[in-house]
Amino acid sequence: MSELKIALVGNPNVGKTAFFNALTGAHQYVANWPGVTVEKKTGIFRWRNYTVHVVDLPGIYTLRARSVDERVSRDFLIKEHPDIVLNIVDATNLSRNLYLTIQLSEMGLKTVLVLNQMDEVENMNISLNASELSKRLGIQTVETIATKGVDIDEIMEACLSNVPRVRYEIYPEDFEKSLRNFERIVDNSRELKNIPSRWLGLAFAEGDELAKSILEESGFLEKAVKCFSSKDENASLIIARSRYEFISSILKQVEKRPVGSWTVTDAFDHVFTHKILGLPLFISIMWMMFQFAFSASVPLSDLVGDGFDFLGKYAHQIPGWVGSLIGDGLISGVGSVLVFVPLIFFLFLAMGLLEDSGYMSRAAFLIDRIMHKFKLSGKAFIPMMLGFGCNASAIMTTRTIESEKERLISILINPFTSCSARLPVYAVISAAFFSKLAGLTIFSIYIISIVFALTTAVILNFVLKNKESSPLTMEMPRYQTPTIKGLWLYTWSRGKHFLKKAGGIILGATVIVWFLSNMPIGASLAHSWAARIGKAIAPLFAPLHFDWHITLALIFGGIAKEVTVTTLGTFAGGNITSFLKMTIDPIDAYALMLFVLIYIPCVATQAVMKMETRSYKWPIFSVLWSLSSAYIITFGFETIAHLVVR
Amino acid sequence: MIIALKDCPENTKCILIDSKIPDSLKNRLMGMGWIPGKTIQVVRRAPMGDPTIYLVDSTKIFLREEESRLITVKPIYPAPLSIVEKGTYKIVEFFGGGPRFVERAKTSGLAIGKTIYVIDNVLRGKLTVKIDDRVLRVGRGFSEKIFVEPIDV
Amino acid sequence: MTVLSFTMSVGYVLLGISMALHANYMDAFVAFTISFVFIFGLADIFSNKKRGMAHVLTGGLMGTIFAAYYTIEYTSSGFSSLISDGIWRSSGLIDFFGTIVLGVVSIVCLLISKKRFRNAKIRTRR
Repeated sequence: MSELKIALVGNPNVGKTAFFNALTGAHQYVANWPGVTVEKKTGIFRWRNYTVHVVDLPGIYTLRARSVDERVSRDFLIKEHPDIVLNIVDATNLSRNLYLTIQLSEMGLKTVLVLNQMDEVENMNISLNASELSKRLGIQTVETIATKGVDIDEIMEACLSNVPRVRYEIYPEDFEKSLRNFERIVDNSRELKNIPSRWLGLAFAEGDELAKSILEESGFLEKAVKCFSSKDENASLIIARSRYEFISSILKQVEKRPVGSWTVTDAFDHVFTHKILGLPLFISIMWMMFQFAFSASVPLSDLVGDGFDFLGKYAHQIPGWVGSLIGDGLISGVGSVLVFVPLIFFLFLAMGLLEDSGYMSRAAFLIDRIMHKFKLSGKAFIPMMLGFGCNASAIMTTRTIESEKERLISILINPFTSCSARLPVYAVISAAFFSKLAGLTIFSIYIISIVFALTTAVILNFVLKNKESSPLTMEMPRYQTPTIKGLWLYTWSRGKHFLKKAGGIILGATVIVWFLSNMPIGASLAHSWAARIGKAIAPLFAPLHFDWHITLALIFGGIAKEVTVTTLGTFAGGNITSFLKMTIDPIDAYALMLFVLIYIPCVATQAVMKMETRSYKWPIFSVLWSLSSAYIITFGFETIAHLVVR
Repeated sequence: MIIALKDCPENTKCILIDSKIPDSLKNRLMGMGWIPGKTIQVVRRAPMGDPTIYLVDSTKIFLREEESRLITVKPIYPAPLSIVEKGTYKIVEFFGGGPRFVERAKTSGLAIGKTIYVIDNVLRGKLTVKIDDRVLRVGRGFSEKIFVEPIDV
Repeated sequence: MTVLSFTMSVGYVLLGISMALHANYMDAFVAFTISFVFIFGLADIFSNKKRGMAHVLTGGLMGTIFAAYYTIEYTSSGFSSLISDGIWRSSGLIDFFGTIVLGVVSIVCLLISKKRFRNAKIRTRR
């Protein structure tokens, strides 16, 4: 059994993921590159007598290493030196894709060129001579349509075939002379034996930090500086231009494209980015996505909920508090986690469709202007919109935002978009106090919600000193039909992630609440430990005119917002309206709605925050920030309103 | 004339001269083919005016005005009237407007084949041109749809 | 092609009106948007064949997606009341049929126009 290490490298949107899935199937493992939030995908497959380890590096345009993705890839390729690199390219866009190919060969890596999306090449009437391309580049090429399956034998045979090492001498003569000088000096060193000297020279000339530090450590830095005279000041430009000239000279001989005709993508873009139709289409698509996720999943969620209620009642057959623990605590707790699953499934199915089809970048393009005013980018719109349905699942969609700071801000402002679980609270309070104006009252809460979320975004931007509001990936890829397999894998991995990382926390919280509400044994809610806690904390909320019943309802609301209403219902013994009217006045009622809007994100949301930011710091910050803002705003509102109404 | 990319209207083709944008963006753009000498085509401006879609070598990307402002280009002819400098030109085609646009152009005396002399163009507001010995002020939006070619006089 | 665009425009406008009358305002908005895609296409078909076809293509795609979406909406609201109340209840049967019928024609639009663009048959000056 021999072992092989293969790396997959390529531009974003070339079908690398489909290719990776085709190679490794279910044997993949997703983790993180150490120290960064970039996903590391590894997998294994067996072929003949080889065990092949595959690493899927992030999609990048160049190995010049200015962004995290590029750095991670460059480091892996230089330090781990995989046996083979499979360079997946979009065969319809070779002029850009081959740039990376050249860099890979210059790194001294054995590269096999995988020409993917050959079906599109045919659709676009491009004639491509793959064997000629292979000859001129000096590397093996394989043609594939990754979505339809991959001929592993063909790939592996190409990988293992003996092909002489490639050397591209494509730079202007005096630059080549400097390079050759450099290589001569470095080739004799023992320390730098394992580092490809040509790459080292080129990278150093381009200003690459890894190259510089390698030279520094081995003591060759001064000599390197002398090699590349000041004539090569704009070395990176010279290098880039030479590479592109090389590529276009090859392509002239190797491919023929029809000139000036519209592809399917051009046709769709004409309408989707239309001055007048673009935005209505955007709103339509967003609406359908929202409805699909939040109402199509409802029957399934209900089924799960009912199923667990039934199981819970069944568990009560066990006498005493054990039955109650299992029924109301554990089973109901597990149920409250699983109830999310249909929602997450449908939501990510819709997200997957948007991303894989290519529409997402057009959507970001259309609303970028508005989002940019709040230092957010187009992609931040979707989590905000979805937040009106459910904050927890909305936060999970922030993953598509590349800028770390922006992603964090999107996550932190999300709880301020009023999720659907708060609606029952607003409805009950509005109906009790504002009857005819109930609809308007609720609408005002939603407006305040948007205003508060955007204001927080601006404040956080200032505090976190977010300067990179520019989209880091603004490529608008070809429109493609998403594959069922790809969608399934995407949705499944998100759902699994949620269950693993967030499920535990939600379950734990539910059990704790059960415990506090049912102890001491046999006590009713009003005499439970939870009630005692509520009564103890109530004085803190006295300035807001919230008594201990409301305080307790709010505390339970921290677990899940809907519970606020049911808790009040338990105290009110059925008639919530009269109960509320006895405890608070209309101004306090509106203040209560404001408080519910802002105070804390529910446990599920906090759990997802921890999951997505990978630390407890941010959920804790979110809780403190929202709690204090809620308190201050509510207090301020009540004080001012009472003065005015006097 | 060398102008900023942001001033180029839809359907302009131009050659990239230089970009004074932050390093990380410059690096990424270079990896996508944006090096001096390459042809950029302005595809579409967003409904609210920003960002704009550009095409280089089969790759479409979009940039905001704050970035395209820092990229300098040189138009390729036929180019829109709105970005050409003082001189003598021939109107080669109308592009981007419907049949009604062509009608309005004709009533102003602008027709394909006519010679037009640009007196002043400050890349903002109206242009001053001379056609058929009449001096006209042409609106920016209008001039963006008239494509001209320089004539050696 | 012109006839097709015209029929679709009218069809979706009617569907939109019907949905609005049933208080499905957002769905009506979608229907009206699709109708406008076809209406704009009509304006273009005479002056610029390529643009007109692009509208038919996109309108076809949106119509298909809308039909799929509405079917899911309709059946899930039916299931929802089935689960909670025990009976199947879903409003908007007429709208449902309308969406399906227009959806089928949309698929046709999509397929015809896709073929034209696929083989790069439509050429342009720019």
